[in-house]
Amino acid sequence: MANIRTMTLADLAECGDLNPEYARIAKRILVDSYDDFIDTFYDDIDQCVIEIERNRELRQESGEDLISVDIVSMLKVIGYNATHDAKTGGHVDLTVHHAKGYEWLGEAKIHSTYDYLYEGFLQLCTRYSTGSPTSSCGGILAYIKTHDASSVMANWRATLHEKGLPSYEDWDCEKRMGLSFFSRHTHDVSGMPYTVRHMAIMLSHSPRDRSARSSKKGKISK
Amino acid sequence: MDKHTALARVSEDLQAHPAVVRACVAIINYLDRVPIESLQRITFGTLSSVAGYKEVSDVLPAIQYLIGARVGIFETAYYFFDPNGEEIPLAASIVSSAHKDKEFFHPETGERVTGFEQRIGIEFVLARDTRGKFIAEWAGG
Repeated sequence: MANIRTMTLADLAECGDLNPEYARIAKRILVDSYDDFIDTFYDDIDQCVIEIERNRELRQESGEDLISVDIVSMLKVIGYNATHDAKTGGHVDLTVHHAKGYEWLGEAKIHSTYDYLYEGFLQLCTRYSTGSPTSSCGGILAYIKTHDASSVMANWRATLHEKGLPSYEDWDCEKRMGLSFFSRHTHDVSGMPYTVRHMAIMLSHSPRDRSARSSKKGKISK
Repeated sequence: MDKHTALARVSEDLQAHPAVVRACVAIINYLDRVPIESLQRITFGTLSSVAGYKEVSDVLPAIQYLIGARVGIFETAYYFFDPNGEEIPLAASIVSSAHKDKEFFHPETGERVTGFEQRIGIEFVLARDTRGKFIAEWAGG
């Protein structure tokens, strides 16, 4: 019989029922393929993004590096070997390694123009990544400090669509509908499909309530 | 990874989570203290009591960190507890598929096992790299 101190899949599921974070831990523990890793990692990075967005008023002056470092710190807590500015054919903003050897690279840009986002996309796809089977996915993190992040993402998707990348396709991301989408094209280096998740990180913060109006007035009168 | 590097990473990465730091440090010190023969199979229960928790589930955040790529001290090991009392080691890929597909077939008879979730146990072993490093530290006194 099982040692009573051995946890079973059923016990682990029960922990997850009691605490959603434990359910995510269980999912991380059971990762056993690159696809599992990517699926779990996207849940995890979304939690980091939500946390960043929740405190977006604190990040109005933050540059790309500072926000990326915050994401890296949160990923380390849950066991990912995440680094900022690692040397991978250049200095990639986010490198994430899983204990089983899987890798994901991410390029972060504070959104200003779609050309600037495309520059980040080219850095990710042609400078940093190899597109090998254990590194066949990457990400663009668009830090959006302007209003209407979903329109920015829709326009960015349309811009990318028109670039004529080889075997290009794109589709919705159901985990964060309207704020994320996927693209896939043939990677220059590996010649194999490379999938990129494009993620909006909403940082716009311009409250219009009375308290904000008074605070603004106070600043102007000074 | 050797003990000192592991402890340094724990302090650096988890500084905002002191309870998880305490649990990780207690577990790493335990691994350093007990003979390696006692570490052939490490259970959630063992790690939980080493970390001083009453509830086994409380040790989950520490375990996920210690099996993660930052330190990678442990690897998971899976067993099927056959109704006849036999323990059959399982590959991680089989457990992962069973979990996703919600079905599991007996590794020897091929019969579908109902309620398999209660019969698949998760334990830990020292990661190959860790085993070497800890043994080297002991040998060095």
